[in-house]
Amino acid sequence: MKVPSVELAKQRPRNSLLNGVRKHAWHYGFVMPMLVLFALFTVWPIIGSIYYSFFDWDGVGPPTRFVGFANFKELAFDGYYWNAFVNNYIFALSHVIIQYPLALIVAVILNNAALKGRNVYRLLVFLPVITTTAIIGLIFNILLHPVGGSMNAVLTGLGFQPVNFLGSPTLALPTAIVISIWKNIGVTIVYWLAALQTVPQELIEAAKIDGATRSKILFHITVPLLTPLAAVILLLTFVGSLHPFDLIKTLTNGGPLFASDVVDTYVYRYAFSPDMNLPRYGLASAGGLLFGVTVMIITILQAPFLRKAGKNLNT
Amino acid sequence: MKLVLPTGGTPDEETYYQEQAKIFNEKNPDIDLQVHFIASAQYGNSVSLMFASDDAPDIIRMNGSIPTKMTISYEKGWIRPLDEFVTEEFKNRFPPNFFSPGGRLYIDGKLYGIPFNDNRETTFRPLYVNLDILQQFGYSAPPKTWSELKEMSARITREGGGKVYGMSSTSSPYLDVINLYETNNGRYLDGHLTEGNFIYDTQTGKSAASNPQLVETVKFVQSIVADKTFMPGWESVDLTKLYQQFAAGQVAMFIGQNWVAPEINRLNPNINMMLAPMPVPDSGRKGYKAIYGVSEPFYGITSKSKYPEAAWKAIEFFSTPEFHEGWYNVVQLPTVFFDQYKFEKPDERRDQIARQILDGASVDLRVAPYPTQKNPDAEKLLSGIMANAPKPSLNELINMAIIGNKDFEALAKDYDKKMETVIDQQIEKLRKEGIDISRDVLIAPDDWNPAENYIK
Repeated sequence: MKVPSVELAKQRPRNSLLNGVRKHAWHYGFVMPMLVLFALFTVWPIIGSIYYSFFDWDGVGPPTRFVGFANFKELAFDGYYWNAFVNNYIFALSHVIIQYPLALIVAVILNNAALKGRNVYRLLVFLPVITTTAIIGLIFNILLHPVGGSMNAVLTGLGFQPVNFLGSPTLALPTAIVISIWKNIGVTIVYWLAALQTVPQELIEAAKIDGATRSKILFHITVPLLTPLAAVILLLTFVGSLHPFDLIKTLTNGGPLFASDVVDTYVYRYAFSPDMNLPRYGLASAGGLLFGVTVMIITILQAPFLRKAGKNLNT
Repeated sequence: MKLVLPTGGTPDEETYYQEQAKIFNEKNPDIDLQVHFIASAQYGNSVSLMFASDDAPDIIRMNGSIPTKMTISYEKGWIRPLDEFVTEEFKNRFPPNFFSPGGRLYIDGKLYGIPFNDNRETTFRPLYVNLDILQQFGYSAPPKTWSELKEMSARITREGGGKVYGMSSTSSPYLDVINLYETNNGRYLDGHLTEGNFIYDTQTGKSAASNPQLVETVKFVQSIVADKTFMPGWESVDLTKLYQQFAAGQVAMFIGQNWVAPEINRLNPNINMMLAPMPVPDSGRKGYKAIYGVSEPFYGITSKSKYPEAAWKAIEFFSTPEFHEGWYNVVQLPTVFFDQYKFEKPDERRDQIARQILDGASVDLRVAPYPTQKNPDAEKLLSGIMANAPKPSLNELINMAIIGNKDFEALAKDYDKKMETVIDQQIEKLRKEGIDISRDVLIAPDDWNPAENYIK
């Protein structure tokens, strides 16, 4: 029997898809556990959050009180939410502006083969990364205390007045940012070190033979060759600093006077904090969702840049 | 018959409850009482989840967590009336007025909660005083007036050389303000039993955040801050850190919850500590900390329990002087049966603290009228007001005024204006739902004397 050509055209992609699945069955098998876990613990909660954000729900029983966009409207006029929102972006952008270039400088130094004991330095720089953030928050609480804190003991020993790092509404957030950068810079340094390994050594040797100085090699060879990976590191640094919940919770709990409040702590207060009224999962979900959407928009805006960077990397 | 009781508290308390459950099960072989221990801070959420997942417990604790508060548990249909179980003999175990029909154990004339503590003991907020530090600076007794508090604490800080501070606070200084304010107030009540969220004028039923007594108290605490009396860094300190500083002898005085006393005692068994009543204005006491009813609902039986009779047996078992005394030996806070304890495990220090709590409570606290005594639906109004209260909340405004040195009166006047709109809206909303309610529920009865206990 002759099969019409239109039918054949319809069947061909399906067949090729099935053939593809059959051919790569083992690969799909390996990926499947991750996909299941991703669906259960990432996709499902996101869908749940979107759904709950349209309800006035305290978490008990099924959400029944549909309120439409009322939660989003409440957030739009809630000064505390926008304070947390702005603080969150100040926190994340500070990492991009300070941690990102600082990590490159440190990585270039640590990448220098002539540097003695560079592996020890690498280990020391990376040590805070593997320390539990909550512990760091609690320890810095002690170190930075104006009375008996080591940092202030050093300052007063040098003749300065003690500084109220965590109790001052103007200093609390900058202090948290500095601690976070100290804690996380090791990861960005590792990214940069990996990127630096991609710079062909023969190019640098050739430049040296041609009489290029260290700074000329850095700015005319190393940095241009790093650009494609730099875009990826930029995105990872930014995204990695968007959720400082554990540090803020243990260091300042968002205070004083909400000066270091971020979206994570705001959402936590409404969803879980027992010292507030009944939990408001609907409002908390809307708060998290709104913030997530802005992050997604920023990521999407970066996408063409990243694609271009990726192409450059391949060529 | 399997019974489930989720409960919270300290690890010692868990051991005690487990031991007592074992004894109860031995006495009642047909019942298997299982105590599920949950961290206190997570109690409300965990119990809510038990109900949400159709795995409701048989007995719940209704104190200390908002989601399991008796009025809220009632609204959700979680609890059942207990009138059929409670006998006169049972009621007579407790002090007089504990089962007053107008008290907080009842809703719509039906009994839903069984007490464990005297409300006066749990609500008392003392001025913690390190008597040794006071003596070191020449003072023989805790401050009795606001001026004495300010002068003594300022001098200790000034002369303490950065090692000892006369007084300190936390990142929530509104607690200091509200507790001092209660001694300066005989007219304005707090609608939510949560220290300072909605203060209303009992003569007009209007929001009264900007009442002169509160404004005066905020200014008083601002003056202490201006003197730099508090330990530097207090703005980022929580209660735990503050009582650690007190236990370490770095802070001479602070205002705090009475339940931290045993913790301080554990941290420093040699501390010469006193839980003193709140200092009063120089012109004399004008009011008392208002509490609603002498009894506080503690145990409730859930409407989902298949064995309410067995659950009642367990509550009866928990409501004896023997059980209470065992709990007291572990937790070191007095309960409603304190006068009936045999003190078989003597501990002079523990008993001294307990007596200071009881004495302080009788000095600082009075039972006040509560809007639900006028109209049972008043709880709905108060809940609606609380859920829709202006932001920043009154407590946050006080914190802003103290930490940020802001003009509290201006902030509070603006807050009152917004709160008035909220009250009108909530009354209107309830009326539309067919509930007959007005602002009158916020006006105190004529026979209320703020200096006396108002028990109905």
